[in-house]
Amino acid sequence: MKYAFTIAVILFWCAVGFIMFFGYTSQKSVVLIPAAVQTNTAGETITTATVAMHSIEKDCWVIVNDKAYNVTPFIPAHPGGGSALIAYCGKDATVAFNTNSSSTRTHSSTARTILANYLVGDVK
Amino acid sequence: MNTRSKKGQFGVVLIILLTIIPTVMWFFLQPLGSRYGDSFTLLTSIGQLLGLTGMTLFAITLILSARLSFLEDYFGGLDRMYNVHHYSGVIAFLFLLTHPLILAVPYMQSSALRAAEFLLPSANWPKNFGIIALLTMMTLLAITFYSRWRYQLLRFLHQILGVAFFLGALHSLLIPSDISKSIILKWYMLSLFGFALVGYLYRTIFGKYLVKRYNYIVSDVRRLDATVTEIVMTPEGERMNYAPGQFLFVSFPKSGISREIHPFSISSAPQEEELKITVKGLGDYTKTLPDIRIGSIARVEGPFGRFSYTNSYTNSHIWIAGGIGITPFLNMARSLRGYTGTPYAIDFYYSTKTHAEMIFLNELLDISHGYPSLRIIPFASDEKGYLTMDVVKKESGDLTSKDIYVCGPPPMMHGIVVGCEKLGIPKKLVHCEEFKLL
Repeated sequence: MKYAFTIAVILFWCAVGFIMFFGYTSQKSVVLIPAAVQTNTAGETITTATVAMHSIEKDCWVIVNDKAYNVTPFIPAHPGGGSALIAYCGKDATVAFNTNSSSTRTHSSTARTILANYLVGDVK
Repeated sequence: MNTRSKKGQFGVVLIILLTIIPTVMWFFLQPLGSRYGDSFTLLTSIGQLLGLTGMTLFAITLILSARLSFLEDYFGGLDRMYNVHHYSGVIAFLFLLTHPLILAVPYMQSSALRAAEFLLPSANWPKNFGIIALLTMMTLLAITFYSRWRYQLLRFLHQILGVAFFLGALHSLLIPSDISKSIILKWYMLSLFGFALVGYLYRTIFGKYLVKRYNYIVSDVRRLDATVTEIVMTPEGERMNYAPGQFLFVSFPKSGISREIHPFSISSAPQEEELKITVKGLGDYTKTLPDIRIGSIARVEGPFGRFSYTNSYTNSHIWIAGGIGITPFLNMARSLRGYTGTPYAIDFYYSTKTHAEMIFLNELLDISHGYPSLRIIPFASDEKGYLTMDVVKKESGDLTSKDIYVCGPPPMMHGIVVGCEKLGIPKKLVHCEEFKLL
């Protein structure tokens, strides 16, 4: 058991060290955006009803500060768990985004940068 | 006759069931397609499942550490229950260690920085509880495995694992997950966490008030040779009843030595009014036992253990004692003086390094005169080499239908157990006193 513990802890810290090293040497958070999301629907009128049509985990749009975002690919990577985000699919998530329910503080600037990558357009 | 083995596996089966139940619930909470649709969700699902299973096992580990005597039968004795506790604890730790790493991998697919940020503390306190719990667990287990600090300090630090559990439980319940979404899974985990915390409070926090202990008075402290001491205690009030071969936990507050609690085999027979333990001075604490003041109070908890000839499958026994591992056998042999039931045929191998160390040989020979089916076989390893099962077979004949009892230094016990396997002796017939507290 002692050896299993030791090997596991060494491997754990190697993995953490690897992630930290590559994370912080990459300088900035580069979010890979799937092609489907990069296709902006500019020119089309996006309404709350349009957003409401994208209300499932596999097709999840949210409204934040009167802008629509397709956050489908980000659900598994959401730090508070995918379910926290899924609850707002097809809905206005402005209040939740600005208060970050688990801490009553707004989301970080990094979070805002990430969100911007998923912009679909303004909600009329 | 045998309770050690009849119910002995039930505890392990129960643990497996208790661990599988939340996993099964988890599988049915969402359609499987949504769990394993792509690599993102697959890794997230595996990470979540590792956390759920890890916390279930952590809760069970804490329940086992509460030293609840009614659970002993279901594990075949406290020694085996503590072994299961050690294994379930390490497995829980491995699962919980892997949990954040697997969850971090999906972030790597978007950016390595996001994965790094995920592993670091943030304003998300439910996540921070999990990080603190895991680091606390890792530190305390490392100290337990590697430090050579005093036993009592190690024991105290090991007990702090309960705090790590509490933080881990908060993390599980507060972070958005399947536990928070499903009322059934939430109540299952809440119940398990509740039992674990009650067990922890009962044993560790309020043990002084809640755990039943007997008061004895130290009536004699005898040096039997240069290193072995016998402590004789007489009951101050209620007397503790016990079976041959069992052990107790004892502390000697205000006796001139440390008030630490330690486990020792009982060396007196159940029918004796006095309670005796026989100890070899091998560690910091046991070396001080000869200094106990006569007349001091002894606080005794027990009895524990199922290592007893009363828990056997047959009436033909092989008893193998190595060095100070003689103590539970002293209790058993002494109990034969008053035994009137079906006689046991016992070959008792008393193994020490030299003949001079066989300080109980004369007494054992005296007992065997009054109990003819008890055959004492002295075995000094400096003359005959180490005692092996081949030697035992040569001396005692076919062993496949005899109960084998062994207590001694771990390498000797290991050698005997391996020897039994090679001779085809059924596992259930091999009884080891394998107590290890930390």
